[in-house]
Amino acid sequence: MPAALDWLATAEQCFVDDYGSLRQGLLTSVFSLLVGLERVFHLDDMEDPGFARLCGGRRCPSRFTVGAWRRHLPWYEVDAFCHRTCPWHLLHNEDALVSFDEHTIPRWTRKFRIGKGYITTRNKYMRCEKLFTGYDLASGRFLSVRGTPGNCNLQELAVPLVQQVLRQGRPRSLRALFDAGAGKSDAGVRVLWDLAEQHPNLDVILRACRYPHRLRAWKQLPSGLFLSIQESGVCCGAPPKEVRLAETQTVLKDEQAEQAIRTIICREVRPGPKKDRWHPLYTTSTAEELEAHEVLSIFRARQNHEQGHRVEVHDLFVNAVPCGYDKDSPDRQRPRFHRGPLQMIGWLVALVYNAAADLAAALGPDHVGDHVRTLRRQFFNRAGQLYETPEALIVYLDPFQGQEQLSPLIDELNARNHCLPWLDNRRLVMSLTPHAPARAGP
Amino acid sequence: MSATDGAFAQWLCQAQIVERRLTAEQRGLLQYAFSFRQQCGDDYYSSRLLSHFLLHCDCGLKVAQIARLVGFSRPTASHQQGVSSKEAIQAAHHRMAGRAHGKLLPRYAGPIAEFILSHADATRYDILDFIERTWGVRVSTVALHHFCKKFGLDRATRAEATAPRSSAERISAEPRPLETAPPSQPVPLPAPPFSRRGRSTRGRSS
Repeated sequence: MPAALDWLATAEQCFVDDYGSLRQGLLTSVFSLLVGLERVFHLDDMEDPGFARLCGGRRCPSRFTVGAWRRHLPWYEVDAFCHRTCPWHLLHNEDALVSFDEHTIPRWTRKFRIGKGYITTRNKYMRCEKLFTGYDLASGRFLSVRGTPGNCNLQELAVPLVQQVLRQGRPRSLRALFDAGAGKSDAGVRVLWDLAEQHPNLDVILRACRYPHRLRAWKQLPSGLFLSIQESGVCCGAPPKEVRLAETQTVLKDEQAEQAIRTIICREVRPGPKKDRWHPLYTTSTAEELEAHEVLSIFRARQNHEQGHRVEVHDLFVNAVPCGYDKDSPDRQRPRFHRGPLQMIGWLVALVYNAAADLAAALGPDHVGDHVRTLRRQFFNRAGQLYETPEALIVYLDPFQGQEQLSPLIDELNARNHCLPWLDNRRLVMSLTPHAPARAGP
Repeated sequence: MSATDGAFAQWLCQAQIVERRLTAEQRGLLQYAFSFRQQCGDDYYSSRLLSHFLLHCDCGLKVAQIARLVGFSRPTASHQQGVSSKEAIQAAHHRMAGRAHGKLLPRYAGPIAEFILSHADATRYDILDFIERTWGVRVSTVALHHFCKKFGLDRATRAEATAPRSSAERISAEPRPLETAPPSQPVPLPAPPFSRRGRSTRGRSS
C-alpha cells in the first residue's frame, strides 16, 4: 500500500484527470495484479469490501471505469509517469549490470492488420506487440519499459535504452547485456560498439547471431584455441558438463580486419549423439579487463531477466495488458498505434514485480526471490475483518501460518501513519490475530 | 467498650462528622462500618469496598464525608460513584497491580476493536484485562483512552458515528429540472424501474 500511494501521488502530478477515474483506475490496475485478478472484466464478479477499499472506494470498481481510464492514457503522460517512478537510485554511482530484452505479447486480432513478430514460446511468426525492458541484474528489479508495435525489434531500441540508463541512472560504470536480437545485422552491432566508444564507462556484451557462415568459421577454429572448463552437472551426482571456451576476432560486414571485434566462443559439449551447442558472445571489454570465462559467467546472469519476464507472464498477467493498436482507427488495415495504455500497464506490472521483490526481501532471507504467486498465496490473499471507525480503517487478518513474519512489516507500516484520501483520510492500521494463550495442562 | 467508643468518636471527628447530628440508622451503619475497618484493616481493598458500599447504600451521608471516613480525596470518591461492583473490584485490582508496563502497539487495534464490538458492555478494565491476557502488557487507563481515541474506538466517537443525523445535517438532493415536452410531441416515458444504469465514462463501441 505505501508504494501504491506513492505511485498514486506521482500519477496525480502526471495525468490529467478529466473524468475523475484516475485514482480508481490506477489502484485497481495495481491491486488486481496483486490479488490475482487476471482480466479487467473479472471485476464484474468482485464483491469483496476489502478489495473495494484497496481500489479507492467503498464499492468494487466498475470495469467500465477502469477500462476506459486505461484505454485513454496519452503516451506523453505515461512517459512522464514512467520517468518519475523508474528506480534509477539503484544504479546511481554503482557498477551496474543491466540486461535489455523484449517481451512479445501475442495478439489474435483478425480485424486489424498489425505488425508481426516472432514468438519464441509458440515458435511462430504472428501478430503481436512488444514491451522492451531494462532489468538490473544486481538487485533483480525492472528499470524501464517501452511499448512498441510487434514489428519493432531490439536492434532499433538498443541504443535509446542504453542512453536512457546512462543519462537517468548515472551509474559509475554500465555493463549492458543483450540477447541476439540486438545484433541481427552487423550494422546494429557496430552502432552499439560506437556507443561504447563514446562512453568510456560503457561495456557491452551481446550474444552473436549464429549465422551459418559465421558458425562454419568458428567451428574451423583450431582446437588448441579452446580451453576446457568443467562445470557442475544438472543435479547432484550428475556428470559434470564440459564447456570449451575460445577467443577470436570477428570482422563485421564491410569492415576492415583492424575493426574486428572480440568474440568469445563457448562450445557446450553434449554427450552422446547430440550435437554440441555453440554460444558466441561479442564483447567490448578487452582480455585484460575480463577473461573469457568471466564474460560467460556475467552473461549467464541475463537469465534472471528472462525469469522476470516469465514471472510477469504467469503471476502478473502481463499478456493481458491493453492493446496498443487503436480500435477507432479509420482504416483497419493500417491502425494507429497508442503506446500509452500498453506501456502504462506494462510498467505497472514491472512496478508490482519490484514491490513484491522488495517485500520478499524485507520478510527475511528465507523469502528472497519468492515469486509473486508464492507471496500472494502466503500473505496477500488472506481473509480478515475490516473495522471502519471515524478515525481509522483497521484491517484485522484472520490467523494464518507464518503470520509472525509479517509483524515487523506491519509495525513499520502502522508507524508511518498512512492516510487513505478516498476514505476521508482515515489512517490505515493493520493487525494480526494474537496467539491464543497456552492452555493449562490436565 | 469505652475505648472502642472513643476510637469511633475519634474516627467520626477526623471525618468532621458531628455525632449528635447523625440519625440512629446512620449511627448504627457507621458503627458497623467502623467494626469492618477494625476487623479488615484500612488497606486499599478494604477502604475501596467500604467506600463503594457507603456511596451506594443510600445512607444520606455526603460524598465528602464518606471520602474523609475512608481516607480518599473528595474527587476520587466522586469518581467512584455510579460504578458497578464488578468495576469497583476491577479498579481496585488495577490500582494494586503496580506500575503499568508495556506499550499499546497500533497492531493491537484489530483485536481490541473486535473485543469492544463483541462485548458491548465491556468496561475499560475488561479491555485492560483482555490486553494483559492477550499480549502480556499492562497499560494504564489513560494510555488505553488515548489509544482508543486515536483509532476511533472510544465510546464517544462510536456513539457519534452511530448516532442518527438530524435532518438539517443531511444534504438535500438537488431539485431536478422539470422536463417539458415540446408541443405536439409525445411525453417521454420514464425509465423502467430497476433498469441497468448507463455507462458514466466514455467508451468505445468495439
